[in-house]
Amino acid sequence: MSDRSAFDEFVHARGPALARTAYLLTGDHHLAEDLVQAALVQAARHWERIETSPEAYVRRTMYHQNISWWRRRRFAESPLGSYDAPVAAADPTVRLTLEQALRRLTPRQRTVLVLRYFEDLTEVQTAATLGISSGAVKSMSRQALQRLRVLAPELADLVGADT
Amino acid sequence: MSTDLREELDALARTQTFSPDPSAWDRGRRARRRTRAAAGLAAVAVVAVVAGAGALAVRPADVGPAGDVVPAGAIPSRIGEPDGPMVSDLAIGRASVAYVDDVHLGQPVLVSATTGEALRVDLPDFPELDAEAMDGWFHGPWLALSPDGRRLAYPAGSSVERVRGVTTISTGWYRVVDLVTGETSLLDLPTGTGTPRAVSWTSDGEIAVDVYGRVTEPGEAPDIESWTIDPATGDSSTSALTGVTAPGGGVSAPFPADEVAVRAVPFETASGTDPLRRLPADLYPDGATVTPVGWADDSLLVAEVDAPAGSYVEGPHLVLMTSPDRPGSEWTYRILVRGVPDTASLSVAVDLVPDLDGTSPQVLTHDFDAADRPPAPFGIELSLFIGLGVAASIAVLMALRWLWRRFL
Repeated sequence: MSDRSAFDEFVHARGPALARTAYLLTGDHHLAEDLVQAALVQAARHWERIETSPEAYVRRTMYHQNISWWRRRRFAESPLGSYDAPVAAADPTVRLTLEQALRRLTPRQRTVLVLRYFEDLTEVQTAATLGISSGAVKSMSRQALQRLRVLAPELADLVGADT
Repeated sequence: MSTDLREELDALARTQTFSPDPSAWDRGRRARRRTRAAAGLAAVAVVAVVAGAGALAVRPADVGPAGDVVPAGAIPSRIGEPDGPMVSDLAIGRASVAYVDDVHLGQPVLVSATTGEALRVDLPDFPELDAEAMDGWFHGPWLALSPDGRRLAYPAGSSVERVRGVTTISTGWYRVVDLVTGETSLLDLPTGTGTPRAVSWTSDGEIAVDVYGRVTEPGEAPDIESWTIDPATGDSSTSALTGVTAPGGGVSAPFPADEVAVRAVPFETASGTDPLRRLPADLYPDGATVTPVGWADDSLLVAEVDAPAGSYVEGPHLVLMTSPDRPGSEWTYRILVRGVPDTASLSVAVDLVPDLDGTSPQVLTHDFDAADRPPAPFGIELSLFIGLGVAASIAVLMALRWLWRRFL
């Protein structure tokens, strides 16, 4: 199998799953598409080196790329004063509330949350993937859940009680 | 809690659709090629910087004959003045220049052909002369260096004040010094001659002296006779031509009778014609005083030119000029050495003048001062240059890295 066809096969098989993770990481459909495409371009660039386990490389690239993009856009982010304000009660469903609350997390918090509760990685695996310590993962995970409770009290059942 | 959150996250994530971009592979491969090309260029740039710095650092100094200091030595680009103690051991090796220090009233100085160092030497029987006696009696060098720079000849004698206030010079022999062995020998004066008006060497290794002949008419200036003395046998014979005779004996450059600026240099030929070689008027609009030093080849005269203010090169300097017996198309005029001490006796080992290759950039002398200094690429101290080179390399690499991250 040629490199090109192997790459296409990988994209076809794993693209949707990667796109779902990307959406949770970015909180934006368009940004999620861009994030996946950017990671796939990087994968094509280094295909000879990663073709035995391309998904791990693409996911790691997405995690870091998303944080890197946020750093470039952070001056356009919402000011901190409104950051902890409760999500508008007009949101009709829990899912919409969760979606909007996730957007209010920092990229690191969101990434840790996605890796821990969506990808089902352990703290150690999450730390290894992001290149940070397990303690930092634990701390960011706790902060993320705590913020979700503040941002959307109606999600208390979903994220559990504060401990 | 985790199960519920995961389910909600999964449901949320499923709202995202995926439409693969078929150009991702091509974009990635293009980026790969650009990266490799940039990395190759960066490596070439770094190698070029390092190699360039290294080449400049170890580059040999610009030198004279053959592009380097030949074992026989080279003529210095600047004839220095001695600053060390007087040397009594005369085995100093070949010399490139010999002169009599005007500042210290008649101190003989030799310049080493291989180091360029100027040494004040203690020559046995070297006449002690004051400036007035030097200027009044001699009309050319009397401390003469052989063409190969190995031997030194001079009239051995002393100054005598027979009449109060008037110094005359009494010469008993010629002394020859071998600068390699340090040995000296004495040669008798040619019969009927006294103190010479100039001493030089012929191209075949004999000592040539110009002496005053008999006064044939009262009040007339005496004739000038020329003799050659074989230093091996002591035999002497007269010569047809006065001054410094070219190899082959066909033409000679006589020593001037006085220090008057001329616009054309007189020569003598065996055929009896006395052609003139005009000085370049653009270099010497008011002429210059020209004293022959020796012949670099059959038709290339080495001469000391003392030019007045307003000349292209002011003051004493050494030049090369083609003799006037050659066709005009062959004539050349080159400044050989600009930094020449003010002296009444200057002699050069003319064999150290390299053969001219016909190009003006040809280096004819050697900068011994530069050879002693550590190399200074682009005029920057070597250590500073290396530091700047390393800093430049780091800057280039950082710039390339930034470009890489920014565009690739």
